[in-house]
Order: sequence, then structure tokens, then C-alpha cells
Amino acid sequence: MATMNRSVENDEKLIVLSESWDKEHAIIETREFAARMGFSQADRTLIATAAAELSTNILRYAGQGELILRTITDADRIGIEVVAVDKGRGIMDIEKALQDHYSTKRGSLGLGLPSVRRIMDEFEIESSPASGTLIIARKWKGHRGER
Amino acid sequence: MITSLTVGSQAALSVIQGCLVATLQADLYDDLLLRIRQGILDRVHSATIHGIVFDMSSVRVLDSFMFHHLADTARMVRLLGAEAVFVGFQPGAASVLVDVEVDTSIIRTFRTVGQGIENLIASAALREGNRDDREDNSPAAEEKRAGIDDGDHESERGE
Amino acid sequence: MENGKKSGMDFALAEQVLDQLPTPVMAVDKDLKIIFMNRAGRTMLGKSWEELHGRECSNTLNSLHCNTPDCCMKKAIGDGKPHSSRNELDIGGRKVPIEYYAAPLKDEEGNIVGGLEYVIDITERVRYEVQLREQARTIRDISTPAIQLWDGVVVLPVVGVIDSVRAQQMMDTMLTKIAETACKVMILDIQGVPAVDTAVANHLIKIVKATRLMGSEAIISGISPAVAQTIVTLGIDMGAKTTATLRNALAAAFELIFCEVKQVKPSRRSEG
Repeated sequence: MATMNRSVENDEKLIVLSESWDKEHAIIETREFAARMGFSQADRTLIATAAAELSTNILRYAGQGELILRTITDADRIGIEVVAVDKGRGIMDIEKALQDHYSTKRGSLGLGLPSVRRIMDEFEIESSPASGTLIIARKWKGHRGER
Repeated sequence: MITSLTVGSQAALSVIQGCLVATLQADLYDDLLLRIRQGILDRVHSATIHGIVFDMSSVRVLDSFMFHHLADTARMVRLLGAEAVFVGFQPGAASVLVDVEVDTSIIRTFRTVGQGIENLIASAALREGNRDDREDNSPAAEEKRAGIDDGDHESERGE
Repeated sequence: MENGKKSGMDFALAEQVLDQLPTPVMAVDKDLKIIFMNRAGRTMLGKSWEELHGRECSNTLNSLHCNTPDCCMKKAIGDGKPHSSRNELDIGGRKVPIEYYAAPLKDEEGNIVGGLEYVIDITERVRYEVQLREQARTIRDISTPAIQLWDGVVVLPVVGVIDSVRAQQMMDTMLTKIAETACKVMILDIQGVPAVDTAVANHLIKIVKATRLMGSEAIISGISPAVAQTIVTLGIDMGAKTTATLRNALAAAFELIFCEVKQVKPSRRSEG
């Protein structure tokens, strides 16, 4: 996780996910956090959707976990960092999980991660049965990057 | 005649003109969709329902999980012999769904609940008509079966 | 700063030179205490030399970078390299956007003894940039208007290059129009688009899909023979009806809304 050093915590929000309806909190908090940061309406929906995907991922596969929102800065731009943590069984095959399964076959694999990767500008993941799963996704304000 | 059965403050199921209208009031999560699904399947199974209209107009954030949950519910409804359509997608939700490249061709969509109901009733009438035609052995019916298929006016959106 | 004896210039003369510069120049020691401020700097801050001498620069400059790791002066004194950046000063409540440049000052042995900084007021430039952005947005708005051709039929003429920013804007315009008017058919006319490659095709396909999700149907018109060849060669499936002309797209749209256009006999009243 060497690239994490860029984060400067100005503003931080922790969301606990343990019940199915906590996902609603995650969506609302994320949308408001992004609004406070001045993201456009379209970007707010996108980022809230990424938070929704990560929340469902945690609630469905690990049972519980946390979402952490942070404001980050880098040179002269600001961005939002969404971190999803859980102590679940971990994702066995990360490469496979990052592929789209929904376009071909519907199965139990399909963890919302391809969506998050498409929505956000940066995406990092670490997962193992021993330590659970850690996902860090960032979106920068100002430019709509090529996806 | 409209009958209402609420599933909670976040969703409502009403029967309008023989169609089940599921109005989703808030952002969606697993338990909620499971309850809605149960309510729908029970109703479709026990009554004569032309189909389901999922009213998405109050849903602001729709992630891929929930989209597929709904699409699966639609498929289950179809297995029970009814149809399912989705109406009222908001620009934000529609935009995000195509951005994350979900396969949206698996559901049928319209703008308003009214259009959805119209379509369900028309489809049901067609199915009824086809069933009657198959059981009709008169020469006129034979000719009709052999001839042009007077298909659904609404363009099929891939099933 | 150069050793006065080496360059044949004494400090008083050097100070005059620096005071002629129209931009603030400041020098600090290793503890960031001000050891020099030229006239432009004193004027900008509205302070006399007595008020500035020996004070910590962050107290007087009040910039966003002050006392943070972003401070270019701290960086320059720390690693011995020049640093520059954009920043913002707070002068008695007035916010001034600036660009500033900081370089280390070394003694004869090469040890860092402090730093030099100059500041450029970019208020005008920022205002200009904001104006440019506004104009760019206006241009984009003008070039992507949605026009209602008939009840339930809307056309969006597109001129110019479709990049991801433009594509998003087109999508937003179209989807909002559908939400507002519940139109049944959306015609996307791309005659004014010079080239359609895989990237542009993907933008169009996304727009078609989103339109359909909203309960409307999209038709893409203005396909040239060259574009048709490109699309097929690249193996792309547009996923929607496409036509060469807007006229044909309109005909297809009428079909979709179950409308017929009939030629009628002109009545005598309409003549003359």
C-alpha cells in the first residue's frame, strides 16, 4: 500500500456496516460528504453508488465491516477516498472477482468490484483469509478522466 | 380498483387494473428487496396478475447488486407466467448503470406507470389470444397461425 | 543572494534593485523569520520594515500553505531544491490567489542558511480562467441543445469531437429531457461529428442504453458511408437503429409513435 502516503486527512467519516439497512446510511453519508466537498451532482451519484456497491459487498460476503470516507489532497487538487474494510473470509481469486460476471453468466461471484473500479479514478485491493479485505478507492474533483 | 399492500415505509405494493405496481420509495438494500420479492411472488402465485410494474422513480442510487436482484425477481415472475416491466428510471441512476456496464437489455423499460400497465395488459391479451388461437381448429384460425405473426407493437427489448 | 563583494555590488544597491521589482520578494532565515522584504512586499502586506523584521513569515503572509507540509519555503530549506506552487494569501481578510517560488539560500560553504521567495499575484489570471471555463460551458451548452421536432420526438444535433466530457454532457442533456418530457424517441444526429472510432462508438452505445433504460428509444442519424465502414470493420454493434439522414430518422420516429404523414389535396381557400 505504498501509494497511501499521499493521503492528508482533513475530514474523515466512519460508517459501521452490520445490518442490511446500514447500507442506506452509507449512501446518504457518502452523498453528503461528496456534496460538502463540492462534487457535481453527477459525481455525487457516482461516488454514492460506489459506496453502495462496497457496502453490499461487505454485508453480503463478510456480514459486517466499515466504510471510511476521507478528504485527500494532492498538489493542487482534492479528492475523496472511500475505504472498505472487513474481517471476512477474503476474496480467493481477486483477478476473477475483478472481471465482469454479469455480462455473461449470473452466479454467486459478482462482488460489485468491477463497478467500483469503473466509477472511481483509483482502486486498490488487498485480501486474504487471514486478514480479511481492504479496498481503497479514490475519485478526484475537477477532471472527468477517461474510463 | 386499487388495492394497497404496504411492505414497509420504503416500498408499497398496489394492484391497479390487474397489475401489481411495486413503488420503491428509497435506495435499495438486500433485506428490503427480499421482502418485496416475497410479496410479489406470493401475490402473482395466488391471484390473476397480468404483471409487475417496478416504479423506480424514487430510487436515486442503484448499484449493480440491486439491479441484478430486481432483474432476477423479474425472471422469477416470468416463470410464474406473468410479465415484468420497469418504469421511471431517473437520469442519475440510468447514467450510472450504463457507466458500470451492467447488461440493461435483460429488462423491459417504460417512462411512466401508466405506460407500463398499458403494455402489461396488451401483452396479457396477446398471450390470451394466442392461447385461444392454438385451441381453435376453425379454418380461419388455421390460416392465421400459418400467416403473419401480428407481433407486439412495442419493440422487444431482448429477452 | 550573491556575496556583495564578488559581484562588485553592495547591499544598498542590491536593495534598490529589489525594490524596483514590481513583485514581492522575501528572504527568511532557517527558522522562517523574515530577514528581508522588498518594497513591493511591504506594500502588498501594508506593513513597515519594523513590523516585519524578525517575525515568522507565516504570521504575516497567512497563506493556505503556511504551517503545513505544502509550504514551498519549508520544502526548499529542507531539501535544498527550489519549489513553486499555487497558493492563496489572506491579507486583512482579502483573499489573494498567488503563484510563489521558493529557493534555498546558502553560505560560502554551501550550507543552507535560509530561503528566498517571490510571489506573483494571479488574481487577474484566475478571473480569466474562470471566464474561460464559463465560456467553454456556454459553448458546450449551445452546441448541445435538445430540439423537440414533434410530440414525443426530440433531436439532439451534435457538432464536433465527442470526448468523454462532451459525451457525459450529451447524456445528461438527453436523459434530463426524457425525464422532463417523457418523449418516446430521441434522435442523435452525428452528421457534424468528424470521426467515429471505438471510443466515440462506445460513448454513443452508452447513451443509447441509458435512453432505453429511461423508457425512450434512440435513433442515430447522420451516418456517413465512411463511418458505416469504420463501424463494421471495427466489429461494433451500435445496438440501435441508425440512418444516413435526419429525414429518414424522423420517418422511423413517426413509425415508433404510430404516426403517419399523409399528402393532402390543397383546399381552394389555401390558394392565393
